[in-house]
Amino acid sequence: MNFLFPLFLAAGAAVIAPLLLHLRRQPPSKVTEFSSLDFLQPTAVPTTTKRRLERWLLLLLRCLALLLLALIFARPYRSSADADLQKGRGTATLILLDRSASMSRGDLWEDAVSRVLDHVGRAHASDRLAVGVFDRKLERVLGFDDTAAQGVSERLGLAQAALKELKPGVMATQMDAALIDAVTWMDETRRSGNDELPPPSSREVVLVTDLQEGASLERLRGFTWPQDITLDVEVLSPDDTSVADLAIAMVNEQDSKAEEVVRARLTASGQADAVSYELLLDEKKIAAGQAIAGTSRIVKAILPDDEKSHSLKVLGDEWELNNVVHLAPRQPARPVVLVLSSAASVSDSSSALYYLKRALQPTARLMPELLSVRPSDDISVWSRASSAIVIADGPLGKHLASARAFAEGGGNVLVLLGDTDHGLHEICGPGFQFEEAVVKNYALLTNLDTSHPLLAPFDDQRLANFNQMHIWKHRLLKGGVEGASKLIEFDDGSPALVELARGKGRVFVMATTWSPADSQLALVPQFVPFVYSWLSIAGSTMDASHQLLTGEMIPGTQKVADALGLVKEGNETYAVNLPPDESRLAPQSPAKFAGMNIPMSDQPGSSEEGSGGMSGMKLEHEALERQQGYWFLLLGALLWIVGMETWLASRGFVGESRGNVQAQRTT
Amino acid sequence: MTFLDPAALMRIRSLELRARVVVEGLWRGLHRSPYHGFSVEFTEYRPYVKGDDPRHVDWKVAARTDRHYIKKYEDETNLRCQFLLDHSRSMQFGSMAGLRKSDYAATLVATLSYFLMQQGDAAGLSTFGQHLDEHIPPRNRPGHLRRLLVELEKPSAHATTALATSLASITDLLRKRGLVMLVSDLIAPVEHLESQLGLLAARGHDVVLFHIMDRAEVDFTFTEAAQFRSLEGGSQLFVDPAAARAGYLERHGAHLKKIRDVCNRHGIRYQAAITDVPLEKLLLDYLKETSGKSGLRVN
Repeated sequence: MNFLFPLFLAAGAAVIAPLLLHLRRQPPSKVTEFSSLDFLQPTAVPTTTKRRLERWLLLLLRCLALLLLALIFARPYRSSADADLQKGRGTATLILLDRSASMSRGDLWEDAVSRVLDHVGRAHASDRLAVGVFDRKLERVLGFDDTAAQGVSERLGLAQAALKELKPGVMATQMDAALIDAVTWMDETRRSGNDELPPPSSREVVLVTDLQEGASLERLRGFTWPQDITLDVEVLSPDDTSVADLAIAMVNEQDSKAEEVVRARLTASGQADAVSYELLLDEKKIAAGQAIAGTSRIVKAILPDDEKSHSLKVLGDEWELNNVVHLAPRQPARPVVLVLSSAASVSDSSSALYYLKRALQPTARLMPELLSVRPSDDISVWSRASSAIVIADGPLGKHLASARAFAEGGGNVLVLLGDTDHGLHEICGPGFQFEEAVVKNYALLTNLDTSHPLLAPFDDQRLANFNQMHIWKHRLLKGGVEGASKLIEFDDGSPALVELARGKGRVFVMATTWSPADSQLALVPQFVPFVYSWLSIAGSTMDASHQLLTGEMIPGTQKVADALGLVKEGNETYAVNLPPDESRLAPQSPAKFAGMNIPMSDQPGSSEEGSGGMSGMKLEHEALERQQGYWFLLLGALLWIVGMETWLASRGFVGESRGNVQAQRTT
Repeated sequence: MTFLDPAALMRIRSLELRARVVVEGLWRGLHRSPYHGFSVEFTEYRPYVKGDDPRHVDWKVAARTDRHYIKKYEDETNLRCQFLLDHSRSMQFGSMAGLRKSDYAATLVATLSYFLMQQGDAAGLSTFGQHLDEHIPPRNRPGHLRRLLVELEKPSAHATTALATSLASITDLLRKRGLVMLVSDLIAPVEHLESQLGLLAARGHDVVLFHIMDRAEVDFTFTEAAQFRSLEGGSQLFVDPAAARAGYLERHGAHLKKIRDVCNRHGIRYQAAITDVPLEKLLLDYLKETSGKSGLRVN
């Protein structure tokens, strides 16, 4: 039997106290009232000590209680378990090294690497060891199997070689994902355990990190952490914590044709009260001021009206990784929308073209070009078209054949049916016929097929209500639309919008127009989404952002943005910036892990106190003592003895002969 | 004859009822019934003797019996008895549960008062401790007994006894001669007591001394060593009864002897009243022994 704190055994000497107390005779304390003391002479008071012990059972219980108390504080553990340690049942330790962007501050990385090597060096030969690094995900550097047959110095050499090539990256800290992966790693090792090695007596994850506020821990809340794996968090902090840090991150983009205003959040953190900063746009100073630590402000920069890339930079602190925001060049889509009509005018408010022109306003991301084509114009204009709208308001001549060729070549054509047929079978297929429908008051649109990409925006409840939109006039499709998919119906059941396949492309036929004489379509909120949706399925999207954060996928590729700055993929240029969370540098408390029901090792390390003071052997003994928990049994025995002592004392048990007790009671 | 146990008697809370119980027992002990042949009229006649005023001759009786009887006047024939009751703290002692010396003394006084007033005699009460506490002159009026009983039931308020001073005050107050019954535990120096008792006797009073004692005071029945605390003054003394008993009995016996000597010298009737002796027995013994000696009559 060994003891963690043998000095407490000296407290067992306290048993002398009850011994002395039992040897001491209490002077009679009973008071008897008497009428007068005139006839009494005082008797000598008896001595206060006696040689014979009384109440020996109580004395025994009291001495036992004191001895047990001393034993509990000394924390006993079985020495045979100590032998287990010698047989090789060491601990399994997984060391996780944070290499997120925030670890590139000051000499944090060097400090962290030396901590890891220190752990590797301190591990017993029987311990099993693995090393991993993580930022947005866990990467295995040194596996349990790699170190299984190695001695301490060989392991140290392996770890040094592996860590030598590593540097902190530019990724965010997904600490929760890394820890969950670490648990999986340890469990895998246990399942595929090397049969030659006995199972480890305990398992531990050592986390070497700056534990900055931006590190994500959310997923750990819903994760059931195995209770036999303890977590030892070693929190690192920069040497000079008084230095303030400035960070800049983009808030959003505001689209505008004439100018682009970029809004960025400038955050100051650290223990300094205030820090001076300068804001540079493309290395030219545009603003300066004082930033108060712990606060953030929005700064604006007006970009020149060009299509170049820019950078917004803040000067004033030492760590520069989070001081730059790269801005991708403006790369707007430039679809050419060809509108074929015999009479439509951009300036005539009764014309469908009038509303189309106003719906397609240029933005920073989408700059559509509306090309109005008359029957008399040259057909060569079709070569520029990316999508086309045919308004059948009169004879369209040779352009109908061009439109058909455009559709068959893979283009999207939207045909708006006018009053009379002007040879639309050219474009819509043979047998295509329609006639004017008889409408009483007005018709409504119904049965929208929102599963079709064109009508997908109307799946949103805010845009799903078409009941306020009245159709004054529409046409009935009579033939040539067999096999066409009906996308919208009128309330009389006739098709309002059908899709016809033409070669590689498709033709959408709308049995009315959006000119005010025909319908209110151009006047309802659904009109603009409809037009943009149609442009989108024609291949002109305005959704793709060119601003990325590290760790995000580059659109259209399987690549992850892993470097700051501009990335060119095909014709697109993307700007990659540091995730804003990585600039939240205030350290978190390791107690957060305990709050998530993760068993913590007794003495979590920190950069101030270190962990060199406690030897590995001592830690193992503590672990043994914790596992065996003898102090708990002793505590139970102590409580029982105290209870017995109280019961006996309350019954007036004196441990003497029964006759004596009886005699005392009689008196 | 069986007597009522004093402890059982004290459990009767009403002092008047207690007195009545004792008196009834007393009458049975005297083989006289208080309900037969006993009347105020009968007791107030006496034979005519030469020299009596003929106006007081009861002529109806003379006509019927041819004998001359004279009506007696109350003030001429009645006994005036003044009880002096010790109200000091030492009277609160009682070794038996519920039987303190003060209770026993109060019952004794109540019994005698009831007994006397039934006979038409006058009873008064003076209580004292450090000084004279209350003085009720002897009377025999309706309600007077009630007043005496109320006074007897008052709790003691005195810490110590100044027996001689109190007796001096009472001696001044007692103008008419009569019977004086001192009921006390007499825990006081005998020297001071003697002069005052002598003065009372010298004034022509019949003085009777009821010395109230507890059995524990008489025999010192304690067995366990303890701190003994005086009821008067509160001083404490460690006493082992086994060692101290002999000395106590000797000193207490000497004290009793001195008191008896004083009584003998001044013609005072001494009656030891130990609280475990039934009251009826005490009174019977007293009455039988003193019949004719003092003013207390047994008809």
